[in-house]
Amino acid sequence: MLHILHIIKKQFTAIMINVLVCAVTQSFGQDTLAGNYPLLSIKSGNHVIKSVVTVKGKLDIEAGAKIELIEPGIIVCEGSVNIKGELNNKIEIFGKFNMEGVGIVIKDLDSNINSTIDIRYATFKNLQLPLFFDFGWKRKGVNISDNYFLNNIGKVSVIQVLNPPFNFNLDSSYIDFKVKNNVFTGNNAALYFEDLKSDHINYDISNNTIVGNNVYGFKNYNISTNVLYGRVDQLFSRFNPKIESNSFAFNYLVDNITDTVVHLANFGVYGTDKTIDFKNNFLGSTDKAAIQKSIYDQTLNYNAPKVEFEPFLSTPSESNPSHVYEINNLDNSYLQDTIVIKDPLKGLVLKANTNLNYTKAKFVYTYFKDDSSLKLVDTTVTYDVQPNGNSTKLTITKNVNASKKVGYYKIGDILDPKGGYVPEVKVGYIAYLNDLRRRKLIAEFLKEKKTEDSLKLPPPPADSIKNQFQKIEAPLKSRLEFGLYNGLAIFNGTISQGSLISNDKNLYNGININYTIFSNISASMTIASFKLSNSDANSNNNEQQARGMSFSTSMLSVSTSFNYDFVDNRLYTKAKRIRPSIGVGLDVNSFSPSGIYNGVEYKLQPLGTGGQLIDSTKKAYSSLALGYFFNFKIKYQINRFNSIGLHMSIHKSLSDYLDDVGPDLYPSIDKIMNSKVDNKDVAIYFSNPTSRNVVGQYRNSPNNAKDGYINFGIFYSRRLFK
Amino acid sequence: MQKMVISILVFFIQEDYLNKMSLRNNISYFLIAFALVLVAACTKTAVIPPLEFQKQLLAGTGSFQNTQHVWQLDSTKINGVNSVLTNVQKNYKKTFTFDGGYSDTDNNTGKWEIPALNKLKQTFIYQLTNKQDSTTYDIISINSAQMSLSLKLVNGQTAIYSFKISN
Repeated sequence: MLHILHIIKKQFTAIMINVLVCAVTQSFGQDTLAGNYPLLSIKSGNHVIKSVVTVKGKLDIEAGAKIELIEPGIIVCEGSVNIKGELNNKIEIFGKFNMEGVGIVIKDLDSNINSTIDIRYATFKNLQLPLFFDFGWKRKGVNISDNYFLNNIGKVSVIQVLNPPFNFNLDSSYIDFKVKNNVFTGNNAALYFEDLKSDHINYDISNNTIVGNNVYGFKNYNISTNVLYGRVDQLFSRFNPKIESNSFAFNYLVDNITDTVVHLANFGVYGTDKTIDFKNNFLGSTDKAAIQKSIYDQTLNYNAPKVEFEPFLSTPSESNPSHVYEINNLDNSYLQDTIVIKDPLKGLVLKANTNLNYTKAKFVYTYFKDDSSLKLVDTTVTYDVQPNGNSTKLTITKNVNASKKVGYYKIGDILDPKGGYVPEVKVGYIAYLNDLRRRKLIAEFLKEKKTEDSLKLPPPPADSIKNQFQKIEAPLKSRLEFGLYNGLAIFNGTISQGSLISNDKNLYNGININYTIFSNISASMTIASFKLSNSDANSNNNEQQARGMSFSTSMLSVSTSFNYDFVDNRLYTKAKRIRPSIGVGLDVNSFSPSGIYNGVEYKLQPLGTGGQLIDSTKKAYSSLALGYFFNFKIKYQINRFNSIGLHMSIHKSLSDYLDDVGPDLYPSIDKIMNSKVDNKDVAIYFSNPTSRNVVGQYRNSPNNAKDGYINFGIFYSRRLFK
Repeated sequence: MQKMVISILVFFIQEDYLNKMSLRNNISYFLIAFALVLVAACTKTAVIPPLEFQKQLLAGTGSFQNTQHVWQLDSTKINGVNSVLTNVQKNYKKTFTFDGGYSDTDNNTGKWEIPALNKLKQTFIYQLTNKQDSTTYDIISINSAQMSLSLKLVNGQTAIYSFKISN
């Protein structure tokens, strides 16, 4: 035993040392940045930013750096920025889940006129506003290329570029602003450029993959509710923006209130200029009318410029970051994005701009479990992959969801030819969001209804009986309530006094389980352990005193009852904290009366004190007795789950021998002496303790009372389940 | 002790303990206090000491109709040999009252006491001579129906008298 303890101690010590080492390593391996820096170089490794970090000079971030921004973490750059990751060693700037940091802010004029912003091979993920060029900023050039902007949660912008200073008009220099080869996906906001057409910034937004973004707004479509938007003014004529070879697909306007998809939302523009070139982009479709619906321009607002989007690309360029741009059925027919999936699909054809790798892809089918709740079932789909150039047929080999509830498919972890990230694909997601909304409304309605029910009393009963027996639509476990009972038990029977309070009082303990059947009816079961005792010596009745009997018995009772609850069980309100109830039930009691003779306690039943063992026609009474009872409870509801209260119950036993004294004639001493009873002296004593002359009398005289008992006290009860 | 009580009181006052007690605490304390009161309220079983019990078997408890016990001579043995009882002897009865009084059918009166377990001392006042004498019996057995007393006679013999209850 000692050896085992020694081994356990050793193992425990080793684990503790390991934990300590890990904690120390973790704390040393993670660098926390804060405050002002004249220059800042962030090396490869883990870094955390929890507050404002201001860099006055150059900010360098090395490949392999992982920077976690925790709200209100933000990096403010007043100088040049050099974030250069590598194709296979990217820089990650990401927000902590549920405590997302802001991002990077570029502000002010740098004293070094040659300073630039260069951001490559970086991932901006889960941030509020990944890149923000604040009003009055100026650098020589900006290059944002080959980056990933993924799942950023902020609803303002993913990239927001405000104008340089006003007096900049006097300056002939300009800013080359390139946004190229980036992936924007899963974001909740748009790319916003204050003046796309500008005298000071020459925008080149090309070759980007902008797919699967949800721009949050309201149902009325406007300029800002597009994944890319800005102003085009006649006033500035120096640089027209180059927006070419980008791929726009599955970008939607999502209603802020309902979280449902309104329609496609790719590009929005406003300003005084007549037109803007938006040519040679892939716009998610080859149907001109469908494309037009995803653009906010003069067609919808006469004061806005016209977006010249023709010619548009029928497929995205292979040089764009890899992505799926079209989803078809197995027969290659177009699969509508509004499809309602209630029956499992047999497969999909995914069209991409490059040859994608599905070997590690996760194909998940998520659907609702039932008709109206928010419960979801996630299942992994098994499938066959049949590549055909840049198109891939995924044939589902095993079907699920026989319940015909709305669901959607999601395919993630697809890799591009270089092993890089590919935006995930969703099928049936719009219909899923609509159904989710419906279900949320039902849930909210039920919640409100429940709150109302709890606050208001039930309406006056037209038919009161019916009202009190209303069924409860609640799961079984939530109808259960468990209680602990404590109190006193008082015997009331042959050996007892008329005045209840002058009888012996013994401790009563019990456990109770209560089950709510109807609104005002409940059933309960109580298992109780207690003692009953009493003595004729306490009596004020001379006859009883003369009899001189006494007893004591341990009782174990199992009682079941039906109760009428005066307050509706479903109701919980502070106005109805006090809840009385009455009930009737049946008992099964196990008892074994005993008495003390010459300092020793003897069980009375085996002695046959009523002469049961001297007469062959009689037999000893059973130590198990049935009974019935009435109970009364007042419960004080502390909160929805806990309550305390007072209880009282009056029990009558169908056996007259709880106190060992039944309707038997006093037995003859001689017969006891000649019987086979073991302790004859004791039997003689207990049969007639005062040795009176009792010929022809019954032992239970003079009162002939039926045995029973009363218990009362306090209880605590609790619902364990919601 | 007094100092300790004062220290405890000071602690509770300084900590503002009572004001900070939550409803839940109050209820818990109430339940515990109630349970303690219940335990205290319970009837305690009184066990009669053997000496007292012997007295009650002999003479009753003093309760109604149980103020005296009458014992009738049933048999006698001298040195282990049964003696044949005469009719008068068969009707011989001793009466012990709960308050220590004694009488018998030979018109003797006196007192009784059980000074030690299984020792019955009888003090007689003989009616004829008005002389007082005492005898101490050994109680061989006694129950609510039968009693056996043993006495060392003057001649050195041992007499055993068996009585049965005759209320």
